Amino acid sequence: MKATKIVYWVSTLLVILLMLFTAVQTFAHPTNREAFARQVQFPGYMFEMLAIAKVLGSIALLIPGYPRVKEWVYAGFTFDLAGAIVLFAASAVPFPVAQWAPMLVGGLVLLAISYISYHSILKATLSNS
Amino acid sequence: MKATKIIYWISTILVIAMMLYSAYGTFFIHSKEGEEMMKAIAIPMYLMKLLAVGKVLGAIAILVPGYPRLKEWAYAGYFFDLAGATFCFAASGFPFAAWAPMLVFVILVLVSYFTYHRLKGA
Repeated sequence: MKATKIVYWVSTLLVILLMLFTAVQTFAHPTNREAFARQVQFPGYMFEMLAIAKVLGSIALLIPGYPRVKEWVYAGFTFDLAGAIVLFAASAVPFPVAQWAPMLVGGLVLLAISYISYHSILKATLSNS
Repeated sequence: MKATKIIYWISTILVIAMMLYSAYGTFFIHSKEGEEMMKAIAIPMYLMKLLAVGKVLGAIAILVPGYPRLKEWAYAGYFFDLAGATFCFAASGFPFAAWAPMLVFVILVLVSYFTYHRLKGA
């Protein structure tokens, strides 16, 4: 259980760092955001909405309890990362795979590790109580 | 409990019918109005297609009995989709009266979700 907890915290904190980093980038560099939005033919305001969702999701993962809310956060983060992969892959302006795939696929893998270890900790806590 | 069941089924069927119709429309209905609307909210076609696939998968997950965790993800996805779509219209400068009706579906999906949990808990 101790190993699972370490795996859970390392993967979860890395996922949260990735989410908060991209959320900060969205608001800190509006010019870059709009230029990128034009390149991938995606509305810039959606990036702002997603950035807010990322911050809310990160808070929800850090607050203990609320398993149903956490389930929605894991779902949302998965949709976000998978959607971002489709966005890059479908973009009319080609982006080199090496530029985005490691971060996004890596993010999905970390998220999956966080999710699985979260559920095994949750299950152990429920069977103990 | 009977009332909860009726509310659950009405809200769920309305939401799923709307989602399936919208998914069908994305792939098979090509109208000028539709294209202009997509242009106005600046949502690219590939995203609509991705969402259409998600809508069909979500409908299956909600209708097939069991699989509570999958249902949780489907409801999450449906809520993000509907709330996000409403936000798209609001953020693109549409007047409140134009996108307010979309809130009905945001409420319906929440009604379906909460009655689902009430039935599950009973």
